[in-house]
Amino acid sequence: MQHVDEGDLHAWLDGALDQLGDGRAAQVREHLRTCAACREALVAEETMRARADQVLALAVPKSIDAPPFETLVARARALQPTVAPAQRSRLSRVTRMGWAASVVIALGAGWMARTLELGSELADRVASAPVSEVVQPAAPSADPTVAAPSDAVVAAGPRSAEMAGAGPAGPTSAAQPVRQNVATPPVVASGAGQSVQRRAAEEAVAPEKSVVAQLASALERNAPPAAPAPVPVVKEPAPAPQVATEQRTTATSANLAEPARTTGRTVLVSRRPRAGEIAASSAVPRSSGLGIQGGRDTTSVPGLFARGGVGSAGASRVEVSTDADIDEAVDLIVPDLPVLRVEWTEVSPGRPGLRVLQRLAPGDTLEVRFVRSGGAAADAAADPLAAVVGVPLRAGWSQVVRVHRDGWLVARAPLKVEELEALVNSAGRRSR
Amino acid sequence: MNDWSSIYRSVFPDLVRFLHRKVWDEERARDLAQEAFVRALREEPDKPRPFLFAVAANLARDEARSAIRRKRHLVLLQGGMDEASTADLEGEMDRTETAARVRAALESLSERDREVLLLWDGGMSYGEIAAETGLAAGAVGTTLARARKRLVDMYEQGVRDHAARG
Repeated sequence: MQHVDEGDLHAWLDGALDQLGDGRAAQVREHLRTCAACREALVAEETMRARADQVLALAVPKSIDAPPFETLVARARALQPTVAPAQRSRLSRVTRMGWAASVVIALGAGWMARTLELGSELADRVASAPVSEVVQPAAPSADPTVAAPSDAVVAAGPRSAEMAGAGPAGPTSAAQPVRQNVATPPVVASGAGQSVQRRAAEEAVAPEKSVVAQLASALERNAPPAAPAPVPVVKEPAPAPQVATEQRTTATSANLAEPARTTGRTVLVSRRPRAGEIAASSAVPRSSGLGIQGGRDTTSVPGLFARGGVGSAGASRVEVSTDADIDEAVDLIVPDLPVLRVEWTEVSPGRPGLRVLQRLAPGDTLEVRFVRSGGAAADAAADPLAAVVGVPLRAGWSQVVRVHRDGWLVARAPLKVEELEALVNSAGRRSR
Repeated sequence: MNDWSSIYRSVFPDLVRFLHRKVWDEERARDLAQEAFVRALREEPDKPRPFLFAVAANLARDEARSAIRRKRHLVLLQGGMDEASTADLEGEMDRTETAARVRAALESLSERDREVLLLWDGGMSYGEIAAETGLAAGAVGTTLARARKRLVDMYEQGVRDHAARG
């Protein structure tokens, strides 16, 4: 087969490959499995696609005040009836179950092009497993005021205890078996040398300490003081501009689980989360509730928005609704951050997950994704970084946090709620 | 049968966002989204989302053709200013400027590319987009790839130009 063209790469990224039909999907998948050049191209397109989404997200209405549903029904009825009598009775039923809540979007001031994305991917790890973070150089930003972080190495102690309550094994994954091709294996150091390496790496971040480095520091400060297990440190050499692409390819290949278009539905946040809830319940999301439903036709809903403070982490207010399913989502929300969106998604075919988008300081967003592990083989296929980290994933729910900035993967690690909060606070301070 | 109240809840924000990027007027976008829903409630289409977006696209088209555009208050001055701090105001101006840049980038796309991109962003599937635009399903990905690239390029060029002007 010829190389995969851009259109098919985007179809793949959009989870729409199967809509191409005629075995083309299978061809594309098979080719991606075997062609490193196309995988590289895929990563480049993924970055570009994410950037396009960011740009589009910069132009959204300040608020969406949906009028009560009943008023629309009334308007529809007031018009000359064009519907058959049978249909009209359906209309009246619609009226009875009318929905009166309003959905409000409050995007804060100064939503800038720069986005800090902290993605989290579920992959349960053994309780004592060491955790590695790979810190990659950030992308050269189009915005000259945004300092691109240099590479840095972070390591954090084991922090899997909070994930003790792993849920039942996930469904057999149909994750795209595209593997990362680590062309140049990074230096892997043992835990003993980690602080030296980190210091050296931090010194390399100059002159202004980058967001990434701060995040890394925040992570590290919050690691448990007594780290019982050695922590593998994966260090990437400081990149020359020419090698940046290659490194990014390596890093973002972690995302190569074939995404499915969002099939999530909107949830409204029912209550303000209590501190400490994130990790506790993210480890065991209930499988019912907002379960993924088949087609996108009826379920794709990118749109939960809660009113939040502007640029102030403390000003977040999460509005109330009555949907019981929401508890799951609420548990995953970092307290005191404005919630932009909560949605269930299928992160790859057969792998449901939850995506929580919150706003940090102006210009930064925090995105945490919780994904259900599909078992070791599926995870290995979906998570090429596993080859570098070398820690087996455990079936069930868990989180592996990825930090993205300008579309670049900068770190990956499971996080405790306190660590996540520290990360968030650190990023918030830096951004103001 | 469709549960229209939940459809309303789920699609309305998408529809407003879609319309906003066509008429660039928040209030008008909400009005048109409501209008689309009123029509949908009367027609009871089998496929609500594609129907709603098709109606919305037509409404936006009519709106654009209309010579007399209603002037709306600046977004800047809408609502909540009593609570707004100076920081909010500055942020608002940034926001307005940024949105203008996105708008310019979007408007540099061909009409079809822009339509496909916005429909996708509104939650339509490749198949639905193909049906709405008359493209072959296989061409949607190619169109999206081109639209995304151009959007990013043009937006970033706008940012650079702005920086160059100081």
